[in-house]
Amino acid sequence: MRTFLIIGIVSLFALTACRKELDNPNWDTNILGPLIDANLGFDDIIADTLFVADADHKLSLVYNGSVYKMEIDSLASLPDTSLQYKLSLPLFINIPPGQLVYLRNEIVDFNVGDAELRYLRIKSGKIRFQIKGYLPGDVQCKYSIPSASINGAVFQVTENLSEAPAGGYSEIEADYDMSGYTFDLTGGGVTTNQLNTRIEIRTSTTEDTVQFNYGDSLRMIISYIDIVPEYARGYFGYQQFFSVPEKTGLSLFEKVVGGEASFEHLSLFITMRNGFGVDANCLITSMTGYNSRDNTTTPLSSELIGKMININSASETGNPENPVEPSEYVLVIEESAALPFISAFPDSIEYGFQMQVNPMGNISGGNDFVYYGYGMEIMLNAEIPLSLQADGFTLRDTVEFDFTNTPETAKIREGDFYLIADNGFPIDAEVQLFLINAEGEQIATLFLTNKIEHADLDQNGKAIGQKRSILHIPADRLQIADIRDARTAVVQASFSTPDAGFVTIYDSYSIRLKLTGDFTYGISNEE
Amino acid sequence: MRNRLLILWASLLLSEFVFGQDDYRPDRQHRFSLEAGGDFCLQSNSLTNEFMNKYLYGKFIDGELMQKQLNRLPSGMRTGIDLSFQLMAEYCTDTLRKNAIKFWATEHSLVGLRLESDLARLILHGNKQFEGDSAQFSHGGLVAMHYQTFEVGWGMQKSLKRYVVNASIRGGLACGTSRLESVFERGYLYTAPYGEYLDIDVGFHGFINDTAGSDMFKPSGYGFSTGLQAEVVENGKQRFFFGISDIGMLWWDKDAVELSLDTSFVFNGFQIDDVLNIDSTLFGDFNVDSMSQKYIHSAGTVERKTWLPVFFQLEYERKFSREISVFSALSYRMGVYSLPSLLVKAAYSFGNITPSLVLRAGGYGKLSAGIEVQLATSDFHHRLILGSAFLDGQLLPKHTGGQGFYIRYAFHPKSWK
Repeated sequence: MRTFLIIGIVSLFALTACRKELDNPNWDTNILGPLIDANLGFDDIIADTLFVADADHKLSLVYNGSVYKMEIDSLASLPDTSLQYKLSLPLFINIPPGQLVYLRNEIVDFNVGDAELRYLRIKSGKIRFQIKGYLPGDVQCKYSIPSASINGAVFQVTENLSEAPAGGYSEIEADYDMSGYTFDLTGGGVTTNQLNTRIEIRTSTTEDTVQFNYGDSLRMIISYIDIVPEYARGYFGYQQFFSVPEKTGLSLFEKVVGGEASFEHLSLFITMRNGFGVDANCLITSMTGYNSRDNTTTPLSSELIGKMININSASETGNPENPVEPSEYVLVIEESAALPFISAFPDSIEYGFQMQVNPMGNISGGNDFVYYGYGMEIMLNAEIPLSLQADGFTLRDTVEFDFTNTPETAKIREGDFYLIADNGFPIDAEVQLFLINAEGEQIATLFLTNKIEHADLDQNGKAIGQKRSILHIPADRLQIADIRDARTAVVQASFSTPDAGFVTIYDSYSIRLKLTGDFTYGISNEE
Repeated sequence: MRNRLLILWASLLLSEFVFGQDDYRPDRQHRFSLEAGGDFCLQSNSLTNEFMNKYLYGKFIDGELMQKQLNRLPSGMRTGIDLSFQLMAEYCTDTLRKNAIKFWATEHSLVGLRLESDLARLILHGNKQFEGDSAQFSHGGLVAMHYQTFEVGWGMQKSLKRYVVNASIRGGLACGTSRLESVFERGYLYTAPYGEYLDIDVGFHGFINDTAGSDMFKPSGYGFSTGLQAEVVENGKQRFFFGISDIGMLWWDKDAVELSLDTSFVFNGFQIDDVLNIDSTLFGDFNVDSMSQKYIHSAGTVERKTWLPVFFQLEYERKFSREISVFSALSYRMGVYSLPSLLVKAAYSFGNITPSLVLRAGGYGKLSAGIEVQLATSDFHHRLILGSAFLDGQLLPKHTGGQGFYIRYAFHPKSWK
């Protein structure tokens, strides 16, 4: 009987023990399906570039890039200025508490050259207070600037300097932020560049009468440091600026790496925008495009280069949000000069520039003005209608390509990917993706077949419908490993137009790209 | 959510639980009876034991085995798991043993699955095989549940000439630990050449309770269960039995979630407008969470009641001599995608040892064969039954799809006789 009981209990336990947590099975399955779907217009393909369509739906590329900028501090600023004061007692004297021992009204005269500044609002900057005392008692030092105020409050600070130790001295150093203060530089009258200040030194009100001796002294240095104006008014003087030939990047064609392309028409402008409240004369002495890929230079051969341009003063709007209405002068470059300049696809340009401020003198009556953020700017503007011919015109860009944070991809064993392209553009394209690892080495080339054929054209050279091309990306286990190891990818696309002269790009054109996957995927029921 | 879906999909490959045959009961020769038993059964009409073992024990299922399995798939695949434990006590309240009070405690873990062949192929081997073609997978589903019942009942006995009639009713508490349910009301998937698009039409309904922290001692659903049974015995010759059990309901707590999907759409891939931002768009959205968020709609947390899976049982037993008897049972459990199951046992008694040959058909599987051995003490106060209806599954794991065994122990104290 006992044997039966034992068998029964053990068997029951054995059966219960079967209920362990089961492990996760895994197997490979074959997935076929679309991954991404994109319907792209021209502006989606050439990213970071502005395209506009005209009334006939023809697309134009629009570029507005800054070539040169002159800011407020080039025209009106206060130099760092330090002023020293010294108090020396010539005799023995007992001074009761709270007694004024030194008073000085001082006019600070800023050295700003020919400029005659009347008002200045400070964006940033500070006043530094340095006091060193050889005095037998505590004193109170007060510094005020009656002509500097913020919201109606005059600037004034008070520092308490304790008595000097025997054979030594006491000192104070403090900085005061001047952001937002307005300086009235008229000295309270009709002068300019001058600031009224006042210094007072008293014995401490909390101490007993102090006996000062001959030779006791106090030194004070007041410094105006890093004053950046937010607004200035006055006469800024006659000033001349000369720039040596200077090179600046041109983002318009920075992704072009090879091939040829030409445009049927284009418009090129150089815009001079004056945000200063002064009249100016400007002269562009030269402008040359540099193509670093094939090391060529193309000067902009326009009759407007080297011609002095008068630019009127900007005007004040009275609107604190947007206080300045700049004046502009647009140089319209002749197409005969613009076409070779742009068609060389420069990735940088070199320019020379001269400017005279107030060439006619103080005709504003001391009402020149300048606001922070508004200056003199020279811009290059291009509007390029997309009527073009291309032969292997190649763009290249580097993009992030990092699948380490997408664990689903780790389950892809091997397979094939297909890029199904339904091309509605009258342009052939050859695309390629080069994978780059963390060390910067190219480790794989993705596309086995990479040509996307152009859409068919009608008798007017206009694309009709879409033409399908299927591009193959084989991905065996090694290729999958390369994809996982990649951190960036170089995307390269070469464009060629059919032999039908210039083709025009309309805003209705698009290409539908669909990436599909046909791959073995590891299934596991684990989380 | 992802976990639940994975469980759902994984469980689609699991199988139904076939309830163990309640093929013996305490007779009324003793005033007190105690019985305990357990059943385990894993059965499929298509998945082989080799495949199921690899699946259940977390092994890698290689391509050859998978292909072999795919070749066996019938139009309607059924698979089920049943793991049950039972404890029963009976005490006759009168010396003539005409009336008895009874107590039952049971625990059931059931998984039942029925899939159309195409869906099974889709899950096991992906949709590549359907390139340029459509997969149809309407009318399939999965249910997995774990629950316990604690019932008391009353039994009585009547003698009618040479027949004895035993009947009993019972009822009590049902406790639910987990329930996962998914039903494909309709399903269609077309895979375009090169995978250009997927045309999908799915009607799906699902339910899952919050199993966090839930176990048999801390259920997440409560309800009731009832049952009744009747037996007619012609003394020494034959016996007929009919029983229904697990008639009842469970009310799940408020964290139960209903999921539904009723949608037709063409999936063209994830839309992007920046082809250069490849890494964050290409596979970023290709995970179960984002797909389920996009296409599966949750009705939120619900308080939901579900029926227990009612179990019907019909038995007939005949003794041809003192040694030879034949037992047959027809049983059916509702709501777990099982078919009725027929079990036939032929026994030859050698006194205290009675071996039987067992044949079983239906349920989730096909025909299977096994053996049973009943051991008893000389005074028959202790009986132990060990058996399996799936010996063929152990001997031919590459060709058959069933495994399981059962054990029962009965105790009738001599002093209570």
